[in-house]
Amino acid sequence: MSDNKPAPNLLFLELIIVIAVFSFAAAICVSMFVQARSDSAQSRDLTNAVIMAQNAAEIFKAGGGQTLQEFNENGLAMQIQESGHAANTPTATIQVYRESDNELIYQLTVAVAREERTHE
Amino acid sequence: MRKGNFDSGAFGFVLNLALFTVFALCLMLVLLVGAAAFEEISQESQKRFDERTPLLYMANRLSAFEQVQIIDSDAFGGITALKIVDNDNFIDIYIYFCGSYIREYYCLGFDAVPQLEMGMELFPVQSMAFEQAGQSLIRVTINGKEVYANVEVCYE
Repeated sequence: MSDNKPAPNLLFLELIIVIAVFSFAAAICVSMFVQARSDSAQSRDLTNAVIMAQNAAEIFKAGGGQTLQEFNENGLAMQIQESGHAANTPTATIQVYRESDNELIYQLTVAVAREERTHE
Repeated sequence: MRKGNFDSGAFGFVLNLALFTVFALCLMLVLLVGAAAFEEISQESQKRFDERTPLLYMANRLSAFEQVQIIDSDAFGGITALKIVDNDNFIDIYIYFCGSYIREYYCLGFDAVPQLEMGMELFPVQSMAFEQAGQSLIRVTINGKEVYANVEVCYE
């Protein structure tokens, strides 16, 4: 009789240990899921920011360094600042922020080299 | 005394069973949450890829050439198309939207009438439009998303 007594306690102890280990692993897994979602959202914002900045750069280049057009979409806001006209080269800095927390997502500096074209 | 031992054993058994049930449920919950999170990320990634790839393809394609033509005539089946003239290779490249696909058609200079259905299917999209947005700026709108390309635009 006395040999059979500790069995349930051992099983109970084993289960408690298993659940503790599982809880620890589950906590790590859940935090990784949350991190993955956060990374995915950041990646999405970065993709949109790059396309927005690229569009602004193309417009800036097409306008010969005179046209500054800002885009605001997908929860992102853009700021364009003229950096200067060094050596007849209009330069602008395009910055894309996330509107929710004002965090800088992407920054691009563009310069348009004005070529002197000769007509034959 | 004997009855007390029996009750204690039964209680321990039920407790262990309950603990094991909780363990199994939690395991199932974590697996389901993980599967849902993975599926969501995968779908989001695929959606982003489907949105971004045609836009970047068009931007890079147009930037590679100095001049494109916007063709909006019945000669091309009433479909608006971009015509890129590759003078180096004597090939005209038509890019247009037809049959839910962005298509690209390579046409030799002497090939008079392009065949729309012969165009190579590039990306499945819902809509695509071209518009001249400036003197040397073209705006391509694909599925409501815009991309600009600095290229000389002319109409035929």
